[in-house]
Amino acid sequence: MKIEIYAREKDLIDDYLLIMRIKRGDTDAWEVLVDKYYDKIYAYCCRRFFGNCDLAEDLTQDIFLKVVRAIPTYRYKGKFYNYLYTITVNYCNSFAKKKQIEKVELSENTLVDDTESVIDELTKQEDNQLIQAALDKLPDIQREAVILRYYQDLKVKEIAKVTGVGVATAQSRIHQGLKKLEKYLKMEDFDND
Amino acid sequence: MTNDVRKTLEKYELVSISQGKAQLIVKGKEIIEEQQICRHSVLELLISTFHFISLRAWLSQFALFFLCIFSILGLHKEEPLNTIMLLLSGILMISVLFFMDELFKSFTYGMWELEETFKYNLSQHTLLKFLIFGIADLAFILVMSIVCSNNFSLSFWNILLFLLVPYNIICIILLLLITLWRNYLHRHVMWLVSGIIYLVSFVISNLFNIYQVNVIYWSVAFVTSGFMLLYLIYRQYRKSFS
Repeated sequence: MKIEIYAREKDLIDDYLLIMRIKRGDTDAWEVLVDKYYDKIYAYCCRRFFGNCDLAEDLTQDIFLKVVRAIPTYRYKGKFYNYLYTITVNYCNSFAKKKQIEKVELSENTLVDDTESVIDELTKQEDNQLIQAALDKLPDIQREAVILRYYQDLKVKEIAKVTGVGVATAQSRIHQGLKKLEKYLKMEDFDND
Repeated sequence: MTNDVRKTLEKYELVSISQGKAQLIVKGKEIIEEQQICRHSVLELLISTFHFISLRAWLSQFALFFLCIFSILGLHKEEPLNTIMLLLSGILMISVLFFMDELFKSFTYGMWELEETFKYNLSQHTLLKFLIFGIADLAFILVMSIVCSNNFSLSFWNILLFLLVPYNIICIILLLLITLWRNYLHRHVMWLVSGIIYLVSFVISNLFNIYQVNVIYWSVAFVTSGFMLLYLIYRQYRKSFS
């Protein structure tokens, strides 16, 4: 527990220093920041938009470019990743409002390890598709909350802050989402072993 | 129950495409570099602007300042207010003109200031110069008012008002001239315009005895002209720093 708190605090300080360096024009710091958060934001966008990887990549680029433009006026009030997720959630929501997103099949590049055997790969791909399909069935707000909680590892309080709702509402969305997911996964007869 | 769902969710992992990340890093770096070029600190700009004000401009101001002090001290104590104020207004107008001449220099002699710094543009430098000169002239007016009020037993606030109103008016006119015709304006035109303004104010002051008019009218004139001048400066500021 103590180690976790220490790690989180170190993370906060690291982010603070990175932002300060970017503000002073240090482009290497930008590279470090992108390396640190790109995959997380990409994964959020991908899961949020029905596993559409191409769209997720475009959105991730837009979100980071929005962040880099906002950094000169950014005031360090709390955790940077909360700020980043707030931008991400808002951007994805406004994008979803504007456009009708098509559900697509997950592409092969979503698989984690290239060295796995072909059968393992196929099984994993199938599992991924089933989970994504279950996530897709959730209403946007519940899907958003579940992804932030279980894939982005945000606390309920942080999710509430990022999505602009109360803690109870965020908690309820996660709970409802999980219940529905359980039902959908059972329906798909997902093998958990 | 929830744990099972969580375990299932954990199985769904994603990795990003590194090409997109690399592109983003390059784009972001370009933006940061652009931001650094455009980033401006007013203090830095102020210090930089001082380097571009010639020594001659400051020397001429000091010369005028001492001329003004000696003129005030040389006048009789019973001298009419009209004469005193016209003399002070005349000196003030010449001071403003010298400063405007220095401002105008940037347009007539090219863009060397911009080339010198690469960071701030000419209009930013010009605006800062205008502010520096404005503050210097306000100090000038303040000293003149103090010396006059002590020497002629006149109200300090009245003299301040009598000097600030023409000061605002001439600043507005010259600023408008520079803004509208900066590419065509010849420095002699500025001197001519200032001469005409002085002549007109001389005639008006003799005809209507404006310094005997109620102070309220002067206050209204000061507030109106002050707002106009501030608006012009603000507009220029928005243009320079946008």
